[in-house]
Amino acid sequence: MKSKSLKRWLSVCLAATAIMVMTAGCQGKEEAPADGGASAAQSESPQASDAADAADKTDTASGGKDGKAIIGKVSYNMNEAYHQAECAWFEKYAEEAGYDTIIIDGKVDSSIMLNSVQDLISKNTKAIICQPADVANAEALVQEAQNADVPLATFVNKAETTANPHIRLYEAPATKELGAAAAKKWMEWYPDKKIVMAIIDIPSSQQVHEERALAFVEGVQSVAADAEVAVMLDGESSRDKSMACGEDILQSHPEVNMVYGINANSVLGALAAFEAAGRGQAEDGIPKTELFVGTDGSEQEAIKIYDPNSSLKLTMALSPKNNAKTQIDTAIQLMNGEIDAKSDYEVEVTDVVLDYWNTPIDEFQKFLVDEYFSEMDLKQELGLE
Amino acid sequence: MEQPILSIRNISKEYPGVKALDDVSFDIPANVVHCIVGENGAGKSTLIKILTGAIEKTRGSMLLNGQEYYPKSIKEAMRAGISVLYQELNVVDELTVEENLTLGAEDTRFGVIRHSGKTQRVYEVLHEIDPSIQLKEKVEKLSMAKKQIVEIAKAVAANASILIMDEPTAALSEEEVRKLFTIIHKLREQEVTVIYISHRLDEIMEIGDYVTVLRDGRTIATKQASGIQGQEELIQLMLGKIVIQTYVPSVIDTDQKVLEVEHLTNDKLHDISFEALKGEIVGFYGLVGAGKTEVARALFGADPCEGTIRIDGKEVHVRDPRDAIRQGITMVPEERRTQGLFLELSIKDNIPVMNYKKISRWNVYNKRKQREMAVQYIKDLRIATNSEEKNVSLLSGGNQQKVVLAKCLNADAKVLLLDEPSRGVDVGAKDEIFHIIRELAAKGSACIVFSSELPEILALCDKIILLYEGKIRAVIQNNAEKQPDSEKIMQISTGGLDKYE
Amino acid sequence: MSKSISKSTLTQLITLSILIVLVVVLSILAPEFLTYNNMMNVLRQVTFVIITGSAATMLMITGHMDLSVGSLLALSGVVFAVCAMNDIPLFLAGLLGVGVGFAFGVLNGILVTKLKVTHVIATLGSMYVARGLSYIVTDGKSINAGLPRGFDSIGRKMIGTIPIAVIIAVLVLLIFFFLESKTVFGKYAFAIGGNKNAATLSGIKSNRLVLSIYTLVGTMAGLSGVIMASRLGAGDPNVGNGFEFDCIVAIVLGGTSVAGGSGSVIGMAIGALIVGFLSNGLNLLGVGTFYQTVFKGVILVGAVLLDSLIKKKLK
Repeated sequence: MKSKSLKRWLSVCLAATAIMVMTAGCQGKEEAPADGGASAAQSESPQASDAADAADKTDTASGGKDGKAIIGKVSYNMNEAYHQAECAWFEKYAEEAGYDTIIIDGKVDSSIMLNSVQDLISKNTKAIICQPADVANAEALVQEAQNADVPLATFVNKAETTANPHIRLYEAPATKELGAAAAKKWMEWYPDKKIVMAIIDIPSSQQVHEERALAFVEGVQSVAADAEVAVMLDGESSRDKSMACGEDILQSHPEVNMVYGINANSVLGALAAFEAAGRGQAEDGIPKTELFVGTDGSEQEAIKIYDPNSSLKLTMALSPKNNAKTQIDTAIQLMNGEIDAKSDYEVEVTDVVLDYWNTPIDEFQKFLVDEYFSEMDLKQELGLE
Repeated sequence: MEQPILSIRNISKEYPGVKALDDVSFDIPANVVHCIVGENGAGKSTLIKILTGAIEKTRGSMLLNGQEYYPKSIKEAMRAGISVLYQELNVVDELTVEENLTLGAEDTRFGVIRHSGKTQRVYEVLHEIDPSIQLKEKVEKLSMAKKQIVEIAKAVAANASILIMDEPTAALSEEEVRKLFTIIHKLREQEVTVIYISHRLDEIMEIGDYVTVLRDGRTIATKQASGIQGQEELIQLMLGKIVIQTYVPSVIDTDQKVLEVEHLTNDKLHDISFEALKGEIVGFYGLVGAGKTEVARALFGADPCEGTIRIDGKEVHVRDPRDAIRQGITMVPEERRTQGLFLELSIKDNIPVMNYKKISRWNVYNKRKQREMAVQYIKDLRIATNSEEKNVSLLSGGNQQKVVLAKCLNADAKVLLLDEPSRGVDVGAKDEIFHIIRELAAKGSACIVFSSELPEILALCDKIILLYEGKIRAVIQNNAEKQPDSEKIMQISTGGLDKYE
Repeated sequence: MSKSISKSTLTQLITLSILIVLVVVLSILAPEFLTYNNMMNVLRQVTFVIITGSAATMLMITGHMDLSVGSLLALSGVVFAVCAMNDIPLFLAGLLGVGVGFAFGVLNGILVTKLKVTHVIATLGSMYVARGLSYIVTDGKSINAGLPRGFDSIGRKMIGTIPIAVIIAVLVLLIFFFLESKTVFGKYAFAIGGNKNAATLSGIKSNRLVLSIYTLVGTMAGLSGVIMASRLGAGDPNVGNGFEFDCIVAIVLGGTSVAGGSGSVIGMAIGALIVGFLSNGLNLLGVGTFYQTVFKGVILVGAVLLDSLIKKKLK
């Protein structure tokens, strides 16, 4: 008796969940084009009206709701704040230009990315933007799309042999600048202490390893030639793994006085380990034992950076807004035929350096709100108001 | 007479096709040792299960201290003051004596175990029973007897007024048995009623105040132990007038020995030697734990053993059941549900498992042949089913056993080992199974029956081998004119007698 | 007389109807869904689960699991790529890739049957070892430079309008269907999973059989890895994360009991198609990735629950 009614209750619950998920999943998509069409009509940007024309020109047999053309996107990893923001901006810009979007999570898995590109081709998307899992993966994705005559532009990772339009995330100069700035500051404070670095890396990602980890070291050494790297560890882009790395560094290389994390999780994890050991502190913005340098420009980094007692003082931020804009512009140009879908067209985007000394707190606040839809009040968090 | 602590009134328990208990009634006086005896299948364990709430009765009532008593679970029974000491002890080896004693009844505050008067009492009880057991010791280091004592202490401390002991001496040495008896006497002084179940009649005569005899699910008698005229009277009560089907001698070819076994020995068996002639049905009789199943498993290669086995005069080496089947030995195992059948599979999928050769070529089997084979066996063995596709789990006990038989027959064995071939099978199916075994023997196979049911052995076997504690005690030739003396056989099997004749 | 249909047939019917309902619903919601190209896409996407899952279903029927298949997929793929890059003839390179899977299958089998390591632990260990090895072989990076022409044929080329990979998957499926339903080998697998005791007492060498099925699973994971590498045009050491669970989901949806004793290879294929169509359809509908993950879980538990409810009703 009892178990029977329990089972019935359970199945009702499950069914209800399924329906809720279904409706919720679809609703999220339906809201977007509802006001998107209106804003596209009112849009003043010449590009947007071009795009609207282009949308009209493309065949109406297929496409999104209201007969709008669809731009597809395969995101690198939608678990991360940066990519979530990038996708949100991507959708927004497409909407303004009068397009529908389908965004699929590639989950940093080359086979899922390939499946996703196939699905987007099936859906008759008119252009695809994707950030492949790696360079090798880019090759497969580009070939798949080119065989189906759907224009595809890559972001970050470019196919090496097949010509394809590419949005290059050219980080190395920014990272070098970051490294140089960090080294300069350190030498101002402690001219006699040789810089000993620890890097929390993701060695499996070529882009990250070369354009962040190695470029940072290069930047430091361009200022302090005798600076050395004590250890380079794999933080696996996770907070707890990176914290474990921090603990290991404290054990094996307590002399480390500069820690660079290749993203927010990496630097914040390592910092947590140092803080637990009584380090990671600063006085009036001058680190006592070591300087922490981060990447991403996330809310939590900001809180540390503007805290005069924390030794995390610099970071480098990607701009999801600018990157998404560039992606949509590229997609529109591909659809219009302004860019040859089988050419080596390339456009660059880069990062910005943000730090305690040169970036006013209001500017960082604005950056977070503008780029990441942040609802946090930085000053309030820091107790400045 | 004062009010009995427990009255059992007209208890019946029926399973589909089988009456496990039939109108059982008797009283248990307070503060005594009350023994329950009976052959295997007499209904002792069913009765215990009903007393402890493990299963529900079909009819009847029980009065505990004059109150209606209907335990729905073992927990409820324990709360009412009835605890059981099972054959498989319920102690946790990895914990200490102390932890075991309070397991499930820990005195805690905010989840932290603390010592208090309540837990202290448990320790005192244990100390009183056996001061030699250290509280901090790990239970796995204790002997069986001491583990038992820990459990007894736990039950007593939980205010058990009735303690049921199911074959408590099965794994104990003589000395340990003495000690247990002292403890039982002590318990009686502490106003604990002990219900004592055992095969060993000498023990019962010694420790019991009252004895209830069960046979075929019925109460035969409840007597004061002092009024019983020795073990013989008990045996007579247990066996009653045995209704034995007429024994039909098999046609035996005395010149041809199908199976010869010499010096079969392993940790449970000592020097087992016997032979089976062509067409002969050999029966092994003994009580639970005498070593019947062990002989069968050793011959079938399921347990390691030393010794020589010859089939048709040729020595064979049996390392595992697969070898045994290849050499022509098959076994109907003791537990058909857990050892004999694939319950999720159909009849037609169960039958060929031991030997696919007849219906397959290059390992690919022929579905039509498989079906035909199943249909043939269903007809030959009269398996009651509407389809050969039926899952064997849906068949009755007797029909399941016939499927196991069919499985073995299909392997074309020269030697068929049958361990408890008619256990849990209704009377009609039992007859049919006997018939099948006789027919097989007549066709020239050697059939070895292992059974703890004497009537079965007496009706079926040409030669009866009595086992006790892993050794052969006697070999008796069955005789159609003059039935062997079942009381003597019983005495040998309970360790009371060394020799037949 | 109503002939009683067996439990596993019933489960297959239920899963099949779920699949049909799913296809109908999706083709109404997304007009692009029911096109030849899209169907071929889904088939291509599920080939890996079907190839590996065919063998893994047999394994689960015996009551065992293999958690290392995802890592084996990656390792075989990178071995294939590395060999091809070093000018070993493609056919041989592919064979070596499959061989790695075979070797790990044997290893898993020995660990489980001879050394008596619990199957979950043993294959979990191989999962880490194989994943680590594939990083070591490739230095953590995908390999696609210097691959010869034709490296991608098995994964991308078609015969007529049907991808070669799909043909291979169908062949593998048929072979395992044959093994499961027509051979003594298959019957023994059911026997071992249903009642190991009885199987041993029936003279079945369960260790030998389980070992050979582990070998088959490893080999099929190896084959999947080679096809995957060819399809991606690269040996990617990161590929196949969570693949073992994709296989288990398909197998369980197909009505195979995790405890063993019952199940079907064809059911697994239906399960794989359900998962494939679902994620493809949801992608076409533009349903967000987070919702999709929830959906997958609901479908899995829902299908198993539905199955047991219907069976209870029929009883």
